[in-house]
Amino acid sequence: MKHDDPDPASHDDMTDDQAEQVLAEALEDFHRRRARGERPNEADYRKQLGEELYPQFVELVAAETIIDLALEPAGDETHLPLAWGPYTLIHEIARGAAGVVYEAIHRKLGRKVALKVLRTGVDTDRVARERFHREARALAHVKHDNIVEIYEADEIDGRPYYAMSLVNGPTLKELLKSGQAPEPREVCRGLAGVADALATLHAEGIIHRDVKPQNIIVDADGRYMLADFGLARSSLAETMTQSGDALGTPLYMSPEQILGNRDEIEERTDVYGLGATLYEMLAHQPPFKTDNLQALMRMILHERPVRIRDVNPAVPKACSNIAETCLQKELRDRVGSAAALRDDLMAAAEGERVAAAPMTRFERAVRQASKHPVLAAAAVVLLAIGVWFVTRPPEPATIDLQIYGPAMAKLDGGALEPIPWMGRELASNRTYELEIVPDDTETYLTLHETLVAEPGSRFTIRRGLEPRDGTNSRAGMDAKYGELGVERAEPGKPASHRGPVEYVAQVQFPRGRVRPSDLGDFEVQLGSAKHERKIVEHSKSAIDFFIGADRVASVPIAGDEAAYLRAPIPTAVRERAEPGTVVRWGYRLPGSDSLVDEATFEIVAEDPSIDARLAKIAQVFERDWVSNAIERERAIRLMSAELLLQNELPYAAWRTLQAPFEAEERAVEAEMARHGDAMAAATAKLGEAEGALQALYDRVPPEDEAARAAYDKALKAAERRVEEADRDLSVFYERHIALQEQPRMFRSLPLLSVQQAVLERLFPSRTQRQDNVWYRKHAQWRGMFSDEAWSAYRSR
Amino acid sequence: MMPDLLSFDPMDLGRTQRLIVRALESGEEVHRGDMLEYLRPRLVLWATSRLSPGLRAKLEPDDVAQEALLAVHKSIDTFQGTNHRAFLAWVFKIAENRIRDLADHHKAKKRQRIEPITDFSQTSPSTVVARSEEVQRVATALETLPEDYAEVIRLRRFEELSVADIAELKDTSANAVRIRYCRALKALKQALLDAEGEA
Repeated sequence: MKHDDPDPASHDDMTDDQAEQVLAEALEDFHRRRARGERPNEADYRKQLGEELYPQFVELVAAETIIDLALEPAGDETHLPLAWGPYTLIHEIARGAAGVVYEAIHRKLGRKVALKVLRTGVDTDRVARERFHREARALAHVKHDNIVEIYEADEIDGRPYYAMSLVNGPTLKELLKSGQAPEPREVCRGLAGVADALATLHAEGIIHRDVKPQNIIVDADGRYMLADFGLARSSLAETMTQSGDALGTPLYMSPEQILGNRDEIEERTDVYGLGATLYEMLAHQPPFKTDNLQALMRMILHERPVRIRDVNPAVPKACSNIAETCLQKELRDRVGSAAALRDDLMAAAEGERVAAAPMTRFERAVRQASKHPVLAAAAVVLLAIGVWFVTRPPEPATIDLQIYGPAMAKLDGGALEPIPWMGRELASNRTYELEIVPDDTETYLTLHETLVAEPGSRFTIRRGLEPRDGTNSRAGMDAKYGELGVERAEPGKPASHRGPVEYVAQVQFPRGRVRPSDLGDFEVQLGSAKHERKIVEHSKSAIDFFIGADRVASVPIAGDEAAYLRAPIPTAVRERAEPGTVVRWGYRLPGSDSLVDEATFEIVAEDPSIDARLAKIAQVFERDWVSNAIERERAIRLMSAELLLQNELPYAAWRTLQAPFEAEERAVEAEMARHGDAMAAATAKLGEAEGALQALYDRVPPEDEAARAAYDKALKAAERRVEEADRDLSVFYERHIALQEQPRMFRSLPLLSVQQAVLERLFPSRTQRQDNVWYRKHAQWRGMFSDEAWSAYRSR
Repeated sequence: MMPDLLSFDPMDLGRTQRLIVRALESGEEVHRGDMLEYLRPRLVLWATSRLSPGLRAKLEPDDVAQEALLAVHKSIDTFQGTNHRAFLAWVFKIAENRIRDLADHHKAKKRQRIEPITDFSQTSPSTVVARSEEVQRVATALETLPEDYAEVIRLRRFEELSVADIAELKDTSANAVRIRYCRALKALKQALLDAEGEA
């Protein structure tokens, strides 16, 4: 791929044909390895294929497995009953890609059991086999009222199996399907038992990995029994071919399982599973639902499930809070352990307050803001309060840092414990430069590291564009990521931002051959709103215009608050703009006379025949054969741009294509900015209320009844305020998300060849195009191209 | 000994080969029976997808599979060698012939009842179509696929032809076969999902 592509594994820009080719080859390779007797797992291909193609690959493998399962000859009743080791297999209960479960009888003990025999594939993987035995042995020791008892685990004829007690009763899934889902408190009570069972398992070092409604059986006494241990690694394709599930959907997998991060699979993976189960029992629908594997994976990784109380208002808030907390994407945001989950579930069942609370909108706002530049403006305001949240841990704290974007990160360590990070040892009192290698296909790099910091230590992460040629001169986006203080950070002090201004004014300026009538407004965008302060610092900057050696005009940039400068081309320029005049313009940094970025345009004479033809185009399309107004507008603009281009007027063509898009963008941005203010206000209210609650709680002596009563009263009032603020924020969020996703007319415009041609004309050399378009305006431009046009453009 | 019914392994491509080679080498009735029973669902699925809609109205895939298995059973001694691919090719050629014969049979309007299904496996009592639910699911999905997709799945998955063989047979490139196979799998998966949605 292109040398400037930071991400070699990305298949984003492939055409469908190329993508198919890659998939077909991967599948062929998969077959070849199998034919050689190897045991490839489809997850082996994740890195190679990237996030776009991998789900498709998994689906292919799953489709094959489904065919193979069907090709399997008579199994069920034909050969049964059958003596196998000390057991007699009576009949088949269930069968999936991972193994078969039989009802069987132990002949000597006369005990009926459910016997799970693992499929052969598993036993040849040495590691999986060892783990199977280790966990099975441990399981056999665990006795718990809510765990289907494991009697023994062993191998017969080299085939691993385990025998468990035969529980008669419907699974939670079956109860849901038959419309007999128990009421919310009852569900909490039942699942508290399962959580307790999980806590016991976790204490033994066993992770279930597959907690879902199908795996919880309600026995005759109404007890919830946890069954079917995912002893062997269950891969995506396996999950998808399990019989009984909605076909092809790993509905209950946690984000870390979806990502195949086996190191991250831990207690809280089961917490997620139980949360997903609780969610479905309360909402009567799984947290995420779609037929499309790729969409499902994306939802699990990035989206928030619909709030339970929006689906089923009858659910007590305590119950829904627990489920929603368990379903947080990041481990640290979930209920901390199965034991804590049990306590919460018990409390909810009794109608008491629970500790679990999903991230508040405020917390989410802070995190969200650091990911999305559009929200960053709000984040600046919010950081002041944000410190309050991160300062909560009073002891040596574990902090997760997430860095987005291709980056050079700099870690200014306080007293950090030496821990290996990216292969380097960290010691205290040093500055660490960490090169972050972009992850395979994410646009944003996510680096998740845990640092152990002592109280009082501070560290900062800086990010910026990857420097070219070892210099950082163009790292225009270099800005402090923010400061996370551990204790003693000062609330109310917003994080400062330094660094050069990001200015993206190139295209909005006239270039090439320009008619006087094209000299409309020009525009400068001084960084994104996140760099607000920079605009102030650079308030002495200017745009200069030269004709020959004379500076004919200078437009100062005095944006205290505005992120954009939009100004008409100065009168002095217009007046002297006669055909044949060449105007040079450029951007001047403060304290310097040289132009940072410059270009020229040449004034050419107006050509009435072009205007006439443009009018004709509009006229033709106005006739109602293109009835859709948007389509009509597009057609007119495309045709007009083409005409202008033919007449060597690329800048005019550009304006024709760009103008409506910009207007649209601006309208949306303005509304988003208004929302930012609303959010900041609502957030402040929320923070205040939550702070008041906390302060009150700390002051109440548990034995003082009067104080207790007063506290309860204050609590109720504060809760009302929190709810109020929360409501305000949800209004904001919904609208905000709607705005972000709002289809914009020119986003999907099939500009393709015309736009490409315009760009090429405006920026004749590839380097220029890269500098001006690819490198600097990547994010902004990306949205304007269809996928096809984008890859076509970039491959030039 | 562990019976075959437990040894299903989707990752094990060599299983067909082992069963066929064992049956051909030993020539024992038990092994032949196991192998033929093993091939039955494959033939049923194959026939489901192979029969044109016209024939589908007249012929049952189960009957085709049964007839083909009977024919294979009768003439298995005439098969030389122990190459499993050659054997599979031979089996499907017989099945192809049976379809033609049965179709002719219909044309001549002399249809007689096909004999009741015989079970070749010595170890089991009677089988109709094993794992009928799964077979039915896949068969239904296969029927909805365009013929060239169904065909490439038949050739690759049921007849176990190599990509190169299919390419030669269809007079196209190996690459085209691979891609068509992937598309076919995708379409099949979608068809399975659609069927599930309706159910």
